[in-house]
Amino acid sequence: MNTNSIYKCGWTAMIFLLASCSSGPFVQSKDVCDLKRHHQDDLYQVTVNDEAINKHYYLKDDAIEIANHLASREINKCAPRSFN
Amino acid sequence: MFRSILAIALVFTMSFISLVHASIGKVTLLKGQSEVERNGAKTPLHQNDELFELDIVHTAASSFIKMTLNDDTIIQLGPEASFKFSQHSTGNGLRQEVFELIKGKLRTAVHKEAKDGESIKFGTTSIALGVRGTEFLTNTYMVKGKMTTDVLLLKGKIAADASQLGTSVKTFDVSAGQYFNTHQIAQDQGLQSIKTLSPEALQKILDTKDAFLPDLIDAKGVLQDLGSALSSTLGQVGAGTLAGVGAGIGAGVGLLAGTTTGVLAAAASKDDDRSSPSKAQAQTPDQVKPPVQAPSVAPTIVTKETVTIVYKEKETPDPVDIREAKEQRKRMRKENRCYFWFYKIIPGSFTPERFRRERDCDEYEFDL
Repeated sequence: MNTNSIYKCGWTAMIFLLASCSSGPFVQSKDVCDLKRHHQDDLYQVTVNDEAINKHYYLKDDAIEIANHLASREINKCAPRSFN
Repeated sequence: MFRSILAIALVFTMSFISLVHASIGKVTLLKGQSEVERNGAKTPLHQNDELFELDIVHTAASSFIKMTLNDDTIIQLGPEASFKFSQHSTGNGLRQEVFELIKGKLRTAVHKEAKDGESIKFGTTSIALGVRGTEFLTNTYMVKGKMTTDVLLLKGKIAADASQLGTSVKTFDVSAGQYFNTHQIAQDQGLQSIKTLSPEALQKILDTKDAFLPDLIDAKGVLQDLGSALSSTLGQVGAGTLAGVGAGIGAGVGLLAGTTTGVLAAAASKDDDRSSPSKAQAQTPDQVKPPVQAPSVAPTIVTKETVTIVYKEKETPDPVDIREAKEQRKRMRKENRCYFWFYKIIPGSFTPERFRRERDCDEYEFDL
């Protein structure tokens, strides 16, 4: 085993070590995403734990998309759920 | 010669101006701070200041103002209120008056009954009240993003124009002692929520000259019992309040029919069976109290009623902007174009207006 091979093994081991340190176990958010309909119009706000994420209203399908995006693993602002 | 002509012209102009802008009343009592908006400028208001047509009076927090008009109409505003003298003319000796309560609490007494040909109207964002010779209280405030109005008539008669509420009933008369909330009327799509206050409570409010009406709708949109609310603000008004409310015209949804009486801090005997769920509100086994005989003074009875207001699905067609957005959604999604809406009260309007803006479909604000 020459020095080149030793270096290669060493770098490979270091990369694996760093990679394993960066990825911890995923903890799913327990917050609840929901849709809140406007009292008059067929428009919806997206809420997290009953608190609107912004002052905007969306079509229902768009609001569901936003809620699903918030519940995605990458964003993880709330737990995934299905909407009617 | 020229100077005399100029002087005459000036006198004529000044008298003309004073005629056009005649004072309509004055501030007779002011506690705290108030300002008047006149010709686009705001200036502080003081006691004995005169008032003019088109003035908008604003009161600060913890402030109270009482204004007396030339026809002896008394207008009282509570804290953080805004009130506009939209029209006040006396052409041919006939009053044509329009007042607008923009927000806050109002108590008013129209002493001179309106004659034929006269029109005295008080308006809010939700309702317009034509008064004859009355004393009434009204609040207008925001609940869940929508303005709502409470009205309690103390004396006289009111003709209410509810056409803005979208109910089948456009106008209705209100008699002394009756009160209502516009949000509830719109929800019920009728007048069954108009209630009558007990004579004792009504007299209590009449006697308390600076009392205002408590908000009938709380922050969650739940209709409150006026009798209980008045008990807490004006003191116990007697059991007649509850009976009077119960006998009101057209019991509201669950509010009167299901009124429950909860006796707080029940003094339970040691020997009482505390395992019974019906006595769950009694003391726990740890809170042992000696046996209590029937108290010599009547216990405070507090009624608590939870009314769940169910918002019905909108049956009317969508507005154009929403309908168009729904129709074009699929096509626009392919171009990553979507819409969002927001509501805003623009100056001069009392109801929130809806605005639509375009956005990228994968963009949205997260303010939490």
